[in-house]
Amino acid sequence: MTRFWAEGQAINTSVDQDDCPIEFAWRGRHRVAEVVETWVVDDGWWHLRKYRTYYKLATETGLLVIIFRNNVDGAWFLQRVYD
Amino acid sequence: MFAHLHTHSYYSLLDGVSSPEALVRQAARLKMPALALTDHNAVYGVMAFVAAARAHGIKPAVGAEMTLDDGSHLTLLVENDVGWSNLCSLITIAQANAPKGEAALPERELETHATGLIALSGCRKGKIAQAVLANRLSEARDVAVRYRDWFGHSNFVIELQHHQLPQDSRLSARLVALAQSLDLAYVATNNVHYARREEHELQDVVVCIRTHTTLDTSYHVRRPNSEYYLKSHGEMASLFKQYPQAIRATEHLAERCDFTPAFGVQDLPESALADGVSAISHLKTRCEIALSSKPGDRDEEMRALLNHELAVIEHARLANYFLLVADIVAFARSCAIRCQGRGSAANSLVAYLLNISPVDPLTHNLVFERFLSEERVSVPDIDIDFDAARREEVIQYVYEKYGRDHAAMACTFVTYRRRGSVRDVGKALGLSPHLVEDALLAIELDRPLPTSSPYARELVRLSEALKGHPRHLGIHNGGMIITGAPLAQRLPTEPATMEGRTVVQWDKEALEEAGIVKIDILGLRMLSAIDEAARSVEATTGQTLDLDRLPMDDPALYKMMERADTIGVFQVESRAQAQTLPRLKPKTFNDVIVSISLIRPGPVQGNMVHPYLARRRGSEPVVYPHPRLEAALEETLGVILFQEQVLKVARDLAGFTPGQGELLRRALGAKHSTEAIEKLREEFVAGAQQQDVMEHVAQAVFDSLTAFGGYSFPKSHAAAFAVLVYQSAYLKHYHPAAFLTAILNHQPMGFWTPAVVANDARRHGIAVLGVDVNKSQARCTVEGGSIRLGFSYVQSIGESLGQRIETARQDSAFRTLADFAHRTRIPPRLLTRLILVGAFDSWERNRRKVLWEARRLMGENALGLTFDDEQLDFTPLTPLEEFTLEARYVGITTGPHLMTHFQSWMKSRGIRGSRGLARLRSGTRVEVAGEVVMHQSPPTAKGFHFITLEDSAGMMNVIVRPRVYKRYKSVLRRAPLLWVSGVVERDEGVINILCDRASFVG
Repeated sequence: MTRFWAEGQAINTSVDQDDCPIEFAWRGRHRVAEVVETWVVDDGWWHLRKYRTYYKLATETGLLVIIFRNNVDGAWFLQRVYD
Repeated sequence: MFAHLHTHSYYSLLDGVSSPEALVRQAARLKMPALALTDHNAVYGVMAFVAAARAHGIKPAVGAEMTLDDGSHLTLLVENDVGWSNLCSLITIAQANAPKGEAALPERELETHATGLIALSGCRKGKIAQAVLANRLSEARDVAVRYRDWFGHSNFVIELQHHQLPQDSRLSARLVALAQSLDLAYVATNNVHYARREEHELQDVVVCIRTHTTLDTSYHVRRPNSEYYLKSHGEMASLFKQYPQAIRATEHLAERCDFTPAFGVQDLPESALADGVSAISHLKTRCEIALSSKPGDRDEEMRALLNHELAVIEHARLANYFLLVADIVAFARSCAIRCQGRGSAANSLVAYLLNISPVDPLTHNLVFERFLSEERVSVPDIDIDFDAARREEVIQYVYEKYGRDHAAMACTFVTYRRRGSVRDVGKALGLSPHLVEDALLAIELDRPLPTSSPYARELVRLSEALKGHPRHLGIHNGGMIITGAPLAQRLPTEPATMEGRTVVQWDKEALEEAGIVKIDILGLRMLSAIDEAARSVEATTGQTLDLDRLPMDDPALYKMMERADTIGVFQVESRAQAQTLPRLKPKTFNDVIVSISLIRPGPVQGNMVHPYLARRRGSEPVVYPHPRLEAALEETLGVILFQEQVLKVARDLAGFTPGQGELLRRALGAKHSTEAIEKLREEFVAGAQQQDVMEHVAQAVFDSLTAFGGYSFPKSHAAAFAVLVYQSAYLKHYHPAAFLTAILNHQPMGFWTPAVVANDARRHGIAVLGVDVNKSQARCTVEGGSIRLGFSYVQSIGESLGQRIETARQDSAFRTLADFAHRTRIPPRLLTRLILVGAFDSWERNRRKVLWEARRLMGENALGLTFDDEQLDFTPLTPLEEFTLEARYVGITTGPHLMTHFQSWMKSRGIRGSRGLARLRSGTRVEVAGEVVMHQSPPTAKGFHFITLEDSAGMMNVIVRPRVYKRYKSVLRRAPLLWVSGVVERDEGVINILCDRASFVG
């Protein structure tokens, strides 16, 4: 079953020179095999700004996930793990 | 180098949020070589954009993003003149094909209007992108082929956008593949809606305003992120690093867009003339004939001037323009529609001879070059005032004569002011109405806006940012554009809200910038009032007034002006004029010209008024800021009064050419031109120094020009207006009942309320008679030397119901209340109102009794009486009750002045009225009371407030210092009747009371 966290689970992530994730830690380490899609959201500024860059990733460990970087403070979060 | 080719300014109304100038400034910061402006279905901002781009050394490309009738978008860029005509036609068609504020272009129109346009396939809402996103690839290909065939292989380009949205990369890849398969070029754009990223918040807000949603409920219509800004070359190159060609193509395309709008008199329709007769020879003949009919001993002088003017007019190819205007004026006069030219056109003898202007320029020492010279950079406007009540007849004449495809009105942009922006931003933020009302109240009371909560702070920040942004389109007061070729080929039009009217997509400033000739067909209520008064005099006395041939030397009229007995008189009735006229003591027509030019924001802000008056009475020497300025300022005793003097000062002190002077004059009058003014200051000071003028003198003179601003009259305009001052003063002096009746019939106009006008009539011995069912007409009338109020003055009755009452009475007078109700079929609510204001008083003075009868007529028995009511006794209304009802429902009272009801109260406290005030010495302490009829605090007055109190004998001027105002603010703002303590100040017949304490009366 797909798991989803609206505000995300904090994760440690390594990035390449373009700030693109190459590896993250969530119940073990996961190297990125493919960046399937990226997109940016900047919304909600009138109460709580959500300025995030999302990455839909396939990992070498066989996971399909969505993680995002909070562009305000640079922190990384796991938001969705597909079944 | 990258150039943005898909950019929306705030002229994409309630979608874009940056001005064209702000976009250009940002593009310049980013060192962009070119920039395109592509607002939604409009070219509103093109002229401002082109001017800003030129000033910043950026190549401008113009175009629009069109909305097709299936809702899809297509970006069009203008390559050349033909392309501009086609774009204008397409916008006109799209705008006419949808409700106001929307556009829907039938796709087939593209085929016949494609020449000279470069089409980009559009944003995600483009037909091709939509088909690709929906995986309908063959449909995308079909559309691309169709557009390629219509626009041409090199003029149809696939548009790529990347806003960091899901699928953007995939969409770009597929679009590039499509382009490659058809051998089409592709180009990167960013669908810019704001110059800088941080402005996305305001963009979210305007989208909510446009869609009547709030930020919390508008996710589906707002953009999901803040990527729609003017990105740098680096940012765009990074987004499209797989497609460097898409970046390179931008500059190449911008280079090809080689069009900037420029028009001129050649676009006017040709006047119909006999074969072989040119416009200039026809104009010459007409002027010669008119000249020969003018009496006087200056024939030679006039002839020389006429020849000079005609030569300049011929050189400027403006003969046809004069003939067109003369034709419109001739039409009006043939229908007895009163009219006259205003503005700088009154400098022209030709305009005078053609009956366009009422002012003989030789008599008033006016100079033609101020209207038109060989060096003048722009085409002059001829503005004409028409009787406001009949202006529509003139507009319809122009439509009929030239056709609706060739004539339209200029538009205006209704921009956000503080209250409107607070209200709309408040709604978008989803704030509760009471929070918004608190903010609006704070604005009204001139308090800082509340910033206690984060939402309130957002309200303040965003509403400030929205101020000045265009919200929607309006119709210019009277500016008409007439073209020989169909208008749609010159500039786009769109339907206006008012039925039967179309507007062009440029406002006055843009039209001027593009050299498009505009004829201002303005409505002036004073002309209506003068016309009505003259007719009324003729109808009641048999005397025909030839107001256009009055000798302008009647001492009685100048004395009346000196007494400031000018309520109702054009331009000289205001409080400020009443303070000036007794000091100015006008004796000649020229003094009237000066008087109306003095009380303008320019001379007031530039501190010209007091020096002028002091110099005129000899209590201050006439001095000039520099000897070089003596010639320019001699006629106005060393101060700047007239607009033309700005040009002369710039010429004589800084060596400006007429073109530079004109630029300076415009910049001084423009709203947001600080940058332009500072640039001109440098040129001015440098020019002055070259003529050996000390820098500090040049700076000081430029400062006074800046303070003067553009808010002043040209002398010729003041001279034309002074004619109306004189005519209206003549009517007030010799035919006051007819004149003041006409003034009451053409409200709103002038400075004072109708109640003050009526009180003024009474002070001149003219009775003001109440509304009477058997004597009143729809409008006010003169009745045996008195003023009879018309039905239209009764709230909610209006002119049409008033006329219905008149018609019902045509055969015989109303005999009873039942007869009146039956014949007029007036709604019971309005019958009651007529009773309450005394319209049946001539039958029965006791209004309560009439009211009871009316209720019986309506079948009401409000008290549930079980006995015959014939014997009922009704207490009549008290005078104060009658006064209150008239004040509420008519706005003008017919009994004694309100203050007479407080006479004994005033007497018991030693409070004075206006009578006898004139005899008091300066410095005398007084207590006065009166009805507040005017409260002003002009921005030029530095916090001072001016209050006018009235009683039956006259007016009293009260001046409130800022400190005193602060203390008594709540009384001064709210009291309808005011009791003021203060000190008398006298100065040359002007009496003011300097207030130090204020309270409510009673």
